[in-house]
Amino acid sequence: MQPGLAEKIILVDLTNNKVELLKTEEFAKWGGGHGIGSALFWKYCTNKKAKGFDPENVITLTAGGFGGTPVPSSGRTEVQGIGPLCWPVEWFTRSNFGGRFSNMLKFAGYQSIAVVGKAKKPVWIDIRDDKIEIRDASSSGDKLWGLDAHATQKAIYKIHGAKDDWRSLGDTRDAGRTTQRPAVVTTGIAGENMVRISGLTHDGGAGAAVGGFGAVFGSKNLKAISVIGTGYVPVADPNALLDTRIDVKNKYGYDPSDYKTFPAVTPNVFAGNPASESSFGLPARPEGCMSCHKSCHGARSTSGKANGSHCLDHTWYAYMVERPLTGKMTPEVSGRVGDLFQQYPLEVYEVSQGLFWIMNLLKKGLVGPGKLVDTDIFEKYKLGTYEFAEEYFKRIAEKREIGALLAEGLARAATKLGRFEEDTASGALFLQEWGSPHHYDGRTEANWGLASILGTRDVVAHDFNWICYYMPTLYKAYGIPMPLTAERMADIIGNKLAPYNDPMLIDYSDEGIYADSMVKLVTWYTGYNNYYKNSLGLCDWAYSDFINPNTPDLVGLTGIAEPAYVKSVFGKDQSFAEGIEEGMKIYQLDRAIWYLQGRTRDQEVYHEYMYKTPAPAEPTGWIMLSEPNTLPAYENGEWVYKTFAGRTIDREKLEDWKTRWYEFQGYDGKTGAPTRKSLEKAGLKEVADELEKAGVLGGAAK
Amino acid sequence: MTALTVPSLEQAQKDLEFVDLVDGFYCSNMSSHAGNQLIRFANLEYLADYLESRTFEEHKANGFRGELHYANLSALADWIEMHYGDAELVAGIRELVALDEPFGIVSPKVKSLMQVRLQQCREVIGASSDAAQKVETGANA
Repeated sequence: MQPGLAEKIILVDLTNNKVELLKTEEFAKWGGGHGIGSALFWKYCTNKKAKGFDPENVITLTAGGFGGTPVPSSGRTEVQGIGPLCWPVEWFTRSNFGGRFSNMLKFAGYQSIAVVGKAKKPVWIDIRDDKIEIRDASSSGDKLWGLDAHATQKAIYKIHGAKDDWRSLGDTRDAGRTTQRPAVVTTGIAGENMVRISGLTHDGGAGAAVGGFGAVFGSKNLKAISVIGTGYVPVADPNALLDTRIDVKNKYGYDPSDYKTFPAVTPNVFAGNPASESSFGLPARPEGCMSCHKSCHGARSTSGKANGSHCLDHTWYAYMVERPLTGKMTPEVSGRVGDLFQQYPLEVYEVSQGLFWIMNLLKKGLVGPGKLVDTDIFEKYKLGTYEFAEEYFKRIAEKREIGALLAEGLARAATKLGRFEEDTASGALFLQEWGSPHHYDGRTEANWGLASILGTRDVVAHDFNWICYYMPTLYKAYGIPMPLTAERMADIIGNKLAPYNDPMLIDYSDEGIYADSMVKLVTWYTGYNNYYKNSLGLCDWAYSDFINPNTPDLVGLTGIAEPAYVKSVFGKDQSFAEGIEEGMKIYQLDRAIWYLQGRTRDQEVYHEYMYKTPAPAEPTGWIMLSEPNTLPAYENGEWVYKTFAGRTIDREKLEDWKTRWYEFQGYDGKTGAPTRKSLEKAGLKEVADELEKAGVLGGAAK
Repeated sequence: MTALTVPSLEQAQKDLEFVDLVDGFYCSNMSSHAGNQLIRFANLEYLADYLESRTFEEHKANGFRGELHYANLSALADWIEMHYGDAELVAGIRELVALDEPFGIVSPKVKSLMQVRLQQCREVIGASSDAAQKVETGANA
């Protein structure tokens, strides 16, 4: 058995109330996390065309390959399966959360848990070392069904008798002992009601919200999975691993007594330090995931509100309505709204952009009793108050009134109202691709958008984002020169992009975003994220670390640390470039599944507003999503930082770029489908056979 | 910076009004985590309060954690013209924008100008209501 991985995988068949243990060894070549999840889905989801709510859907929660070890910031759990929120097809998709779950799962002896089928009545899965039980979650059993995600966890802690002191997990003398609470991942009322925008919550606010996996739990009558383990994860070379951890911490990690801000960039990159105050300006203590040196979750605030929330979840309501209407941003209103997000749980971008869209429809006179969006919520509740948000969330979670519309996700809601085309063209509804709310701007930060359209959802991978976009934009906004030139940035980052090692890859100029260099950049970006982050479990808020303020030459740890982790945990001599290749192999398996689901090239596009120049009469919000974005660019023979606000996507150039990207991977240049040659090169012959049988195998690659 | 003359009572009252939020002015809350989130303001007071006024050094000292409160200041002048018709304030903002300074330098100046105008408005309305009260008190005496 490969060191670093837990020995077994749990396969739960809820239809037949059956638990089977698989050997991880069969799946070890996929590394962990996403790779193993894809391989499990491939094998155990016998109908790839199933919908998210069909019992045949297989949902996997897989610990990263580095999970449970001292690799810094490696505690992510990858969630995969058919996502009912995906649009226009319910794609095989992914989400991911931090916290303690992946470590606990491995300490209990399991790399992954895969769940298929549908229970006859509400259940939860209770894993205590080698004891696995499917328990009754209904009112006649443990009474978990109907509880919110925080209350569910508390109830399970109580069932476990977890009181933060020593207790035994068994009756024998040598049974494992622990002081820990179980790690519980659960859905709330929205998931139970199969709301497509519902997610999963673990601890205070570690959540997997994208894709609709809360609703998948609900569709299977599965309330929660709880795990506690008292074992450990054997690694190939413990001494080398500890040395590596200490080395990277000393060389690249933050030093609280000598904090260098540039280009540490907020708490996000490897060197970022924890915050001492919450978004509401109140004192807060750092809190982090197991194995993380950073503790970047800085929202454990003195108010006790929004603990565990650390992103848009506890600030969106403040920015959307509380502050505009009251001039304030308070934990009493927006902080408590953050808690609601975790408790139902709901996907924050869907709710946030949903309210933005509804307000645009309100302006057109289309919202109100008896109108296109038939609701009385604006008459009965005052926008900007906690009571409005509470009722708004409740209606979504209960699929009631306006909530019945929004529970389906924005793309389906707009389609149902017959407004999708108009509103995504006018910018009243900012969905960038796949019905996903606009997050970072693909018109300016091209790799973010391109990787998204080549996937199933907003990519959410910050590798180039903070260093190439956010920092230059801030410096430019103040007219202050960046502490390193664009040329030096391109040089440092380019040298880390194995196997290409070319500074031109981060050329975001008007030509650069359609060039072959961008083909390679998006390949590297996809490979890195599929392998090192989503499969091995590294956190997106710590890696990649290209540029680091704590080294004399500003060169970060990416490309140096990852192979060292692989060597000490797995005992494998794997070069960084080979790791990127592994990531592209995993991507190819995903892509094969999408083609079995009906993927076509013409679906891999942006929504309409991305191609259009706003008319002067359009709301200014139209352009604000890309303004004042500044990025490195190579123009007229030199590197500069340039503002690309207002840039639009050229449809023809994008199509040409896609053709070159497909061909670069060895796929069919016309259809984008993997070919027998590309699949067999990746060792996926049986996948090629399956695609051929289904008539979707690509065949015209050069 | 442009000196603003005291506004009329009518303009002062107008400048302190809310427009419908759906007609509000979009700023961008530029967060390193959440991307550019749109934030739409419906009155001048809260909008001015939001406009960026921190120095670069203040952002840096905070580890760049605080979001940049960004606004297109030319568009802001257009919006005020359309919804409030305060020609003097609009001209003042346009004059500042025409200096072509970086956003982080000009934004505090625009914010300050708006806050001066809002203070004038409060004083004009306060004086007017004092005068009205005196008239009323005198009538009752």
